[in-house]
Amino acid sequence: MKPQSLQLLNKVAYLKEHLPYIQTLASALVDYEDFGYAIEVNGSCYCLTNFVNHHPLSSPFPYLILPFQSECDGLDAFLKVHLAKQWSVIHKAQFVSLAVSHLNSRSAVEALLPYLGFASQKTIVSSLLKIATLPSLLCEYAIQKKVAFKSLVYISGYKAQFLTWFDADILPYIDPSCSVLLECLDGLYDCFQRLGSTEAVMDALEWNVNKRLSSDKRLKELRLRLVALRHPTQVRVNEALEQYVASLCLDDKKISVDWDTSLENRGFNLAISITSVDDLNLIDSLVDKKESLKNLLEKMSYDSY
Amino acid sequence: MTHIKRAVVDSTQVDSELIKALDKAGIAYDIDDKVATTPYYRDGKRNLVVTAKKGETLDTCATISDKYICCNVKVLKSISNCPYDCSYCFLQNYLNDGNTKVIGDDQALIDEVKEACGNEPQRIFRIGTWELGDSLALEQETGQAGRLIKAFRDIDNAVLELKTKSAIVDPILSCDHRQKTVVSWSLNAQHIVDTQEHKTARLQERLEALKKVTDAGFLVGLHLDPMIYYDGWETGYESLVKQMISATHKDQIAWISLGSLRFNPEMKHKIQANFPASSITYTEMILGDDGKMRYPKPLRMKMYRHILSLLCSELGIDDLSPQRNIDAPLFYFCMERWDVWDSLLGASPASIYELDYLFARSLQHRFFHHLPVPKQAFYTPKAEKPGW
Repeated sequence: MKPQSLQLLNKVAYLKEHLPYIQTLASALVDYEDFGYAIEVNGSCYCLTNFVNHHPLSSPFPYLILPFQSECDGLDAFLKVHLAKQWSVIHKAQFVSLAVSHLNSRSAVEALLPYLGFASQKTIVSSLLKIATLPSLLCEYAIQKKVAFKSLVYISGYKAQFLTWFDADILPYIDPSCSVLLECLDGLYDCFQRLGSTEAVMDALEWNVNKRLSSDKRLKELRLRLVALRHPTQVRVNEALEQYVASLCLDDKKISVDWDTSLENRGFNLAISITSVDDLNLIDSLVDKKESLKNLLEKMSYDSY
Repeated sequence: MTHIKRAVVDSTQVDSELIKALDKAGIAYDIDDKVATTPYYRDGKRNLVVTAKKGETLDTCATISDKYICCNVKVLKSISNCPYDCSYCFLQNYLNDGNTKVIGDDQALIDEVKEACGNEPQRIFRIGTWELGDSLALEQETGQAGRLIKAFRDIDNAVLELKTKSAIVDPILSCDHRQKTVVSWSLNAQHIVDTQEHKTARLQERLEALKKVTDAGFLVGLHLDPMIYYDGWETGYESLVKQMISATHKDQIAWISLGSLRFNPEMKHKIQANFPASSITYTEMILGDDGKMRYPKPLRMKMYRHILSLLCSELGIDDLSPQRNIDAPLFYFCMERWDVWDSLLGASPASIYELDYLFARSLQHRFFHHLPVPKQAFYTPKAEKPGW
């Protein structure tokens, strides 16, 4: 987008159609100090950049005048000037949401998508419109953690009632990484859909916000409880196996029994830690346990749970 | 009533038999060699695109992990996409072009099959046309299955499998098949058909179609896959097994398969987006060694054991192991672990090649007495044969 001219201008206003964008996207806009950008509409120039901080109204200020598409009221130039490709996905979504109601034409908005770093496709407009409806704390989180478009598409697919609950009752008390957030949302949503309501999920989780704990500890506890609620068969069978192994009274400091807790792979690994000659006697102790270990293997056919 | 809203034909295919079938079905078409792709799989379900054959179309049904046994069936990719809309269908996460593409050049397809079968004359090949679509859903429009039935009749060492969720069998009933075609159904409990298998033939319609092809002397296949867990699954599947066995004759059942719901983790979100009312993704699942989500093994075992017991009872058989009972319809698990086979059937194939061989042995023993008795060595790839 080559500038058409350089002009020294006084008193350059915003195009009134741009005002909602400037207000909503303030934190994403680029602050130009040495010069500004503007567009010329019917002989009048309109500012695209923030002039409040650096443009004394009494003195002229240099502006590069940019070409623009009139069908989109110069939003193409606006996006270019403010490096919109680098915006967070949330800001891009907020822009698209404003543009759809302002331009009243999905195809005009689609044409602007390349300035936001997307292919010009109607499905992307739809996805961004859904992302724009995410609740406030999730939006803040997504901006702060630079959550990817694809992840936000997933998140925005959850029911609004669920997201509102998560935003108000879960997210304020934890500080997850993006992948852990997705894991928590996925697990909670499964439980929400299974149990039918957020209240039922909270009751089943028995997760009370303990404000004395750090957010890391609260998150850890939530994840543990979520695993138990989400994978009841897996947890129950593993607990039964753990109990059986405990009943064998093996020297748990020296002998370990491990298995695939997903239960897919049959069998177990039996390891003995030998650090002294006396430890070799542990081998004899295992011979006595052969029948019990055979039983353990049989339990791992998982045919009777 | 046709599923097709728009048909486009590649200019190289205008003289094909498929176009004659389209004409006969009264479906108008445009000729266009550069049809734009349809990114969203649903948007292309009613667009029929007749294409030329490009490259190889005969492949092996994909197996991703050596921890799950597949049956080593071959697939002829003659069609891509499907007019039906099952919530668990992998096509929603697989197709780059949603147009329903059918290869018009039947002869090129058949030549490829003949070449592959000719290269290994000692083997019996099972070849299905269902990898990326339904084998019979578009038969009224394309007539392709009928032409393949005719061609496979004359390929000694190959069996065609037409797998479907449709009830469209009338166009093939009068075909001279000589039992070289297995018409098989993907069947599910009534509740699952009603809630997850959208736009397919209803269960009763499928069972009536199964009866028709049985009466027409075809061999049949029964696929209870994917089994899906829901409240009341025991009675739902019990009713299904009873109905399907009574709709056919035991002696014409070539094979019966059993498998449970599985999908790639990324498909979960696709299912949730495309089928918001479906609950199939919310049941407890684990990530298997093949990278697919599936029910935890104790639950799968419980479901399988229930079906096996029903099958034994309805078929009047007390052993469904394909290794031991050579007279019974060949039973197999689709993409299951060795130890699941061992626990439920008392034995497991030593490799996917052995299972392939067991199919051949069963087919020869039960239906194709004129063929030589299969030898297992011919079903093992050369690289895996000791001494080769």
